[in-house]
Amino acid sequence: MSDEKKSEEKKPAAPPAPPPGGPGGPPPEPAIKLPKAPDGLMTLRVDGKDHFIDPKKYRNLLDALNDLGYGVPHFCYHPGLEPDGNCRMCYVNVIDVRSGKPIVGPNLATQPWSMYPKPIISCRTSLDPRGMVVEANSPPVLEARKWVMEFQLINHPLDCPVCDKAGECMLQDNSFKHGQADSRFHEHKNEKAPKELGPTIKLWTDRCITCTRCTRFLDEVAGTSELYVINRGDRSEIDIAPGHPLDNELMGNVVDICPVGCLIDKDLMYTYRAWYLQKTDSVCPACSRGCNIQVNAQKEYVRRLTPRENRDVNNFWMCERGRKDFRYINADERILQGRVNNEAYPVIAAAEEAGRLLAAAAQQGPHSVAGFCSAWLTLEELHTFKQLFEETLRSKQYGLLEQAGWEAKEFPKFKIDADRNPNRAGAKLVLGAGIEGAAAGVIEQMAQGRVKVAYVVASMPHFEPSGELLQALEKVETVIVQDLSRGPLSAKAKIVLPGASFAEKDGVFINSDGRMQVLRRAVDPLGQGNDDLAVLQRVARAAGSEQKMLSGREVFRRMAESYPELKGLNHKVLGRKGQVLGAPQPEAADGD
Amino acid sequence: MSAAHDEGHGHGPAAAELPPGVKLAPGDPEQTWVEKLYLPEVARGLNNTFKHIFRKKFTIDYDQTDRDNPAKFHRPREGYRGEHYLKKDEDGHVKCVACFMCAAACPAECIHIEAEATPTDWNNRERYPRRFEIDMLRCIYCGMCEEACPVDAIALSTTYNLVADTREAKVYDRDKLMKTGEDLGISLSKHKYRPDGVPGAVPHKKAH
Repeated sequence: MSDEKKSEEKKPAAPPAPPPGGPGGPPPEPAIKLPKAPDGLMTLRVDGKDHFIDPKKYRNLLDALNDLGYGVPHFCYHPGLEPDGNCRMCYVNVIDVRSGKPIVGPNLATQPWSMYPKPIISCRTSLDPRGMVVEANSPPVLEARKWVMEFQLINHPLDCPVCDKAGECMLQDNSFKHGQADSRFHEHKNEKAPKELGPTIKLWTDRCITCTRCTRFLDEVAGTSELYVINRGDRSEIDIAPGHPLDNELMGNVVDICPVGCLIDKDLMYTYRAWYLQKTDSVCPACSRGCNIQVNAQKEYVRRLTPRENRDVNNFWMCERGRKDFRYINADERILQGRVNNEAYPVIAAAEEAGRLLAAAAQQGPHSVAGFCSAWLTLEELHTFKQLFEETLRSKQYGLLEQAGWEAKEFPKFKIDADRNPNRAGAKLVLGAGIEGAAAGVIEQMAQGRVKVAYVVASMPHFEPSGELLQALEKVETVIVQDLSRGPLSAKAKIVLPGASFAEKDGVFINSDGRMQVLRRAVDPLGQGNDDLAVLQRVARAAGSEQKMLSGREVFRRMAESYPELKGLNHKVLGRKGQVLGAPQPEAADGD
Repeated sequence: MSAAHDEGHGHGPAAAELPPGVKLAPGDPEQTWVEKLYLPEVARGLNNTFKHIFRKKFTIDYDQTDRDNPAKFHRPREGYRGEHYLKKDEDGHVKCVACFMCAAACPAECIHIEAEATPTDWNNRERYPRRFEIDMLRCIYCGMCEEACPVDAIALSTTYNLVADTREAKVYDRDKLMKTGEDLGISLSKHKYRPDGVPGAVPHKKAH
């Protein structure tokens, strides 16, 4: 020990030709010899196994270990936030390559290692490009995690049966994996009363483990900083400043990232149990941003929407407008069956009737049929719509219905678009760039009474048709409306067809950045099992098209052959995160 | 064919060649002409029948007799798993906290619950079941719901004669399940909520 101390002091003096390994000499042979990694990579030895990883790819040791599959538990660390290191759950041992003993601090040379063979938190440990030796699951590490787990549970009420987080709770999972069945703590637990933090968020204070993920989220991503920690020690609790409730457009995310059931959304409280939810990857349709989400459904009901990771679009977050906008899926106003002349019809029969009427009107010339589609339809549906009009009915008289925009909003690390049409870029791709202005011309033709049959495919929630459109529809003999719910549009219709919401269809949206992203069917279509694509295809077949009934995937596969922008793509290639239009394609891209 | 018959006509000579302890199944025995008449055997059987006519009856008239008479009405022993019932707390409200543990544990998936926040005048907890249904036609009476319940809210009584005319009547709702317990006089739950109203809390164990 004293020898090494001397060497530290003597280094600047540079004594002549010291013996190797001796005081002041060249460093002694390391106790552990790591294999040399290829260029640009580093060697990471975990539990005796060597991995060659790119140190620039990972932010810290925890990310690298979890990416390699070592499953290091953690509470306060979130990949979307700066590491804080307060929960101490992500303990690992880092071994000094020179001595072969655990590193305990910067001045290992001066401290007897046996005094501090203590583990370190991997979330605040950066990767050493010269190579590292780590124990992720050795007995002392597991022992340390067990102690941390016991501390986390000291004041936790263990009311899992009535907690909404039960089943997706990190505390439950980590306690099961790393904790012990009984606690040695037999004093009274701190009992703190629940608090209302804002219009929808409720804080179950006693469940909190003070990981501060919520406060860091509001500081870093939302930039609003409503929440902070008051008091100290085991009396610490999350609170708001008086008169400043937690009320912003991103507040739902604090419920998602809360590792325990402390922050709960009152709108969704008690409505689901996590283990019944079927999660389906989808895309949020509320604005043209196209945040990646998961539709959480129980049987035929959508219970909630949660964000999923896509670093290129929404990182880990989604806004409140999109999160809460799913009630229309199971609303009472939904159109569930076909109607012809105000009489209930099976969907297929009504669609065939619509197709026959369109075909009959198209015989009188291309101007006697008109169509409207919306930018809430997927690429596949827009393509089928275009085929119906251009190939079957031989008319180019169609336009695009647009949802009115809303206020755009920008947070430090999140953006809400003003445009509420999730597939506007897709409509431009399929129907041509001129589609945006086409609606006015079609409405004028209708207002002049030249149109006999109009087919309106809206399938938009909260859509308020303009007065001109409604007046023009008055002049049309037969109006066919395909929409989600009953409203002013369907009131004008002779034939009503059910539309499908985003959770009921397979398809592709293109967001405002030109990224193609796949929606997948989470619940069965409510319109007697027919989604928009099926209804459109049935109408087309009744109007004389020879096209078979195809799934969304198959339609996209066929589109990829005719659109140069989609060459080599299919739903599988687009994957969970999508692809930007015009991005280079891998060679082998077949198979779906 | 009586047991005596089998014994009288054992296995053929082949049995001797078999390893010890192995027997062949009996084939058709050869019958004498007296046996071929069958009359002696008929007489023996009838003799057995008439002997039992004058003995004490073991059976009871199912659901025809006085239920309060234990001699006539069969009550299963304690622990028999029959009709479910829901218990109450001290205030007379349903004890259940709608945690879905019974529904999760149920192998027949016959329990359907919808949870809701409690009315404001219930001051001992936050959630209760707005709807609680057990489909008794799907239920297999395994008792897992009772095992899973953290607040001793659901239990199986010993009532076994569960008959109904329609399928709908066999879906027991919350009020029907609570009434079952009331009628049996065993509806109060033994579980106590914690002073702060947190249900299902695990009691702290002492240090070893």
